[in-house]
Amino acid sequence: MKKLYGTALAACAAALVAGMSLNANAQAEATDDPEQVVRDLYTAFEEGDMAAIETLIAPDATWTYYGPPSALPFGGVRRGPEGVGDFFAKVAETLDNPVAGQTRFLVDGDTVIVPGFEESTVKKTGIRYRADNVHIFKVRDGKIVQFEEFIDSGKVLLAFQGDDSVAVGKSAAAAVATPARAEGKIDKSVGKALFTTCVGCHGDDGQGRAMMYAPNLTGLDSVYITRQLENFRQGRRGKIEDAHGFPMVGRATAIGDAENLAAVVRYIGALPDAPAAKVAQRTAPAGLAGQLATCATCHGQNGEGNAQMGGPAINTLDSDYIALQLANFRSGIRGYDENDGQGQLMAAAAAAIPSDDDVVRIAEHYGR
Amino acid sequence: MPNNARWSRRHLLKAGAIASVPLATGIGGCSIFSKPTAGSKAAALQAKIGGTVVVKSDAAYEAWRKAMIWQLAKADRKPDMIVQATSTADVQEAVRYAAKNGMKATTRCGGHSMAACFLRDTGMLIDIGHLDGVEVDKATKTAKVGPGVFSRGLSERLLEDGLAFPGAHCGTVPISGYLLGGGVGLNANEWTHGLSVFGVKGIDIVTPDGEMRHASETENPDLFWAARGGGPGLFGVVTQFHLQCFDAPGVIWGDTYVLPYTALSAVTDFMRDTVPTLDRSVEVLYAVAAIPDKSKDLPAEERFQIFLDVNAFAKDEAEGRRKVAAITNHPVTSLAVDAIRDRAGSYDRYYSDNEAGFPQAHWMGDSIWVDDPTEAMRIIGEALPDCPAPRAAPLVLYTGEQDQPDAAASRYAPYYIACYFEWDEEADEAPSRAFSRELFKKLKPIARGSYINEMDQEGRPEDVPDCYSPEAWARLAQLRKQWDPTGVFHDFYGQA
Ligand SMILES: Cc1cc2nc3c(=O)[nH]c(=O)nc-3n(C[C@H](O)[C@H](O)[C@H](O)COP(=O)(O)OP(=O)(O)OC[C@H]3O[C@@H](n4cnc5c(N)ncnc54)[C@H](O)[C@@H]3O)c2cc1C
Repeated sequence: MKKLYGTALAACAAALVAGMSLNANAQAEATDDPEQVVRDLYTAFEEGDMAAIETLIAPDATWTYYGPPSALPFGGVRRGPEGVGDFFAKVAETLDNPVAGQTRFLVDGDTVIVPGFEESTVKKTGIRYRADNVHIFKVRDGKIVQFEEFIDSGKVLLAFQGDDSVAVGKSAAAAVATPARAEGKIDKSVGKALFTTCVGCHGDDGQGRAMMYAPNLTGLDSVYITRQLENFRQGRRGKIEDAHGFPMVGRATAIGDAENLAAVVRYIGALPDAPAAKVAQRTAPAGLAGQLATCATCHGQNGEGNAQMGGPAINTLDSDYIALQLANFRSGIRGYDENDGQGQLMAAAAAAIPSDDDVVRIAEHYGR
Repeated sequence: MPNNARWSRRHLLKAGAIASVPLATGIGGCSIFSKPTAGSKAAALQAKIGGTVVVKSDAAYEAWRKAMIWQLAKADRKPDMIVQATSTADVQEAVRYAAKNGMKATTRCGGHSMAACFLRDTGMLIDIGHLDGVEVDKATKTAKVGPGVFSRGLSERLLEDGLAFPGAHCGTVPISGYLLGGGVGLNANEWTHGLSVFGVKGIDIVTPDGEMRHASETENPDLFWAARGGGPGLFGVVTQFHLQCFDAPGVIWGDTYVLPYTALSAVTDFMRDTVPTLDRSVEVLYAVAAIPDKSKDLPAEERFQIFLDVNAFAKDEAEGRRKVAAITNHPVTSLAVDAIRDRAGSYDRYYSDNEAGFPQAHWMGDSIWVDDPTEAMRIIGEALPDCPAPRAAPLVLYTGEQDQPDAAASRYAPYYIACYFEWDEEADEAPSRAFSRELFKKLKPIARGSYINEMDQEGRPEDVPDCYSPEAWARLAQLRKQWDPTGVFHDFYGQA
């Protein structure tokens, strides 16, 4: 028995948690199993792990997106890892915020069939489309030798041609900006429904509850919230030693699929911001100028956050919460996973703080 | 398929070429902002409240319905209307509305009911999870607490004033349904006659006429009687609890022992013979759990372990050590294959440790009260190796011989025995439920009834009355007639 938790019920945990994402997320090792190879590829895409992509795609693989290359730059047939690189380069040139999800993995011998969806905004027209798709992979000797994407490319084409009859979310995006009640409009979104489970810890309006050790969520960058939810879901945050983070593994997992995740993040993003600490009016703690400069690089001069750098606002967090997270980063309880790049950066930065006292002083400088 | 495969929908992006693509901004755009159809039922109520009214024709209805249930197994019942209240005034409007329109109402707070007994196929579901106030009066050691406050949050808040209240063993259980059904709480043996609800000194309740009333021993005493235990069949919505609090322990001193499954009868004997001799403030429970990754083909001794957990609510370490000495010196603990000893615990530690034992999973539970755990554990021990649920955990807790005040909570015996079943794959659900039902049918004749809050109401609806004494069950029915003559509120789950 490796681990022993504090109570009998918790100890059942050893049994109960097994099979939850913690265990299931053990790093994939090289495998010949077609389904695993395909899953590894999706993971590699998600991590932006080019090296892994190169090893997973056979040099002579064909990569096909059914659609006219003349109108859809990523359409047509490509070859090998380079071809795949070119495919994504074209995606990046023409699309904003591409998101995709997989609903199932169906295996038939060496063939893996993955129904899913893709949603992206066409840069030149600003139209966001959403289309269901099916990816069909053929795997040989642990490498992908053939990929085909069947998608409603007619819809994609219309989005490229500026026909906004295919647009999704235009009105919704606008509505997010206006408080729901203002025009007598009631938010009954999926995101609000899902947030029901969040309120007990994070508060009715996401403002946080110190008595539940749960931080304020308002005013945080949506990219950051999404990343953290994914971290919890993928075992990159919230290990069992992270007493107040661990519960989030179950909660983040229970949110459900990528659409639900996006919906709850969008709902949180639209909540009114809780007041931030007036950091600018505070005297910086003595002797920590170097440390504070490091913080400012990613979190902004006054802890307001820097989306470009992926650094969340910290001036809207309680100082106790900041101190706890810094301690977690210092002790390997957070930022321990090599796939949590930003977390690892934070772990390195937190390790450089001279003492535990200084951790508290920094937390008090930025926090509420 | 690994469990997480069904939940993690990875984003296909962030390949090297597009490494800077942000993940979330503008993901998908189908948030459902809409006015209720003018003149519809929903619109009339929505116009009056600050909360949210959702009806079956709303695009996000299914998400709302499912969000009401905390766990992952989502009972397939569909109320006509879901009202998420954000104030007590919202609750009053909703109840008046239900009364006027002949919609039967139920209440949902944390949605932790394992049977989702609040979810019915008709009528209105009133979600009160947002009612979250806490007001502490240190001088009188009392607190006014909103139903949506979680057990963990309440204990942390009370600690600030040196106080405590027997909350649930799992921190994310809100006090609402937990208290109204009885409340098998931390240190309830010492503080509240074995059930936390006896620490409730008053309630504020919206009655079927939409009025807000206070109920206590002296004011509307019959309503108070019903609310102390009648929870899942209550004809009203409780919007605030008035709690009697207690001096917070300086430490929760304890040990946890891991014992081989072969020690099951020895541990049960110890529970029966030794634990009742201890100070009331020593809470002892044990649970049986499968050792992860052991094949079902192995003999039971190799598949299961027993976790014996001891927590003394004490002033300080010395008192804690004294209180648990009879356990630390007991031969049963020498059978332990592993142990945590001399734990200087706290509420924070307790709730943190307990979190993993109660994952937000697909699960169900059932329970009984018994005077002596021996026979029940023999029956459970015999059945356990054939349990089809991937994870099953029987638990025995000693809650003390008690002399309880008269209240709807009328089923009680010193030993609380519950079994929890957890599964991942849909195929395991029906067999797990059938196994539980059969097991508890066997246990019923030797039990002193079941605990309504952890009873398999869906599987054994015919035994719901057995969560109450015959007198209390009859009185609940009579009070329902008196307070709710037109039936604004649904009856207990599965009852005509
Ligand atoms: C993880 C977990 C751990 C648990 N641990 C414990 C424990 O240690 N001890 C214990 O005793 N129980 C425990 N339980 C069981 C728990 O007490 C019940 O599930 C209880 O119903 C939870 O309260 P709730 O507010 O979530 O109720 P809900 O599930 O929301 O509602 C259940 C029923 O209570 C009634 N109800 C709830 N609130 C009100 C109200 N304000 N006014 C009128 N009626 C109302 C409704 O009729 C409803 O049908 C646990 C459950 C879970 C899921």
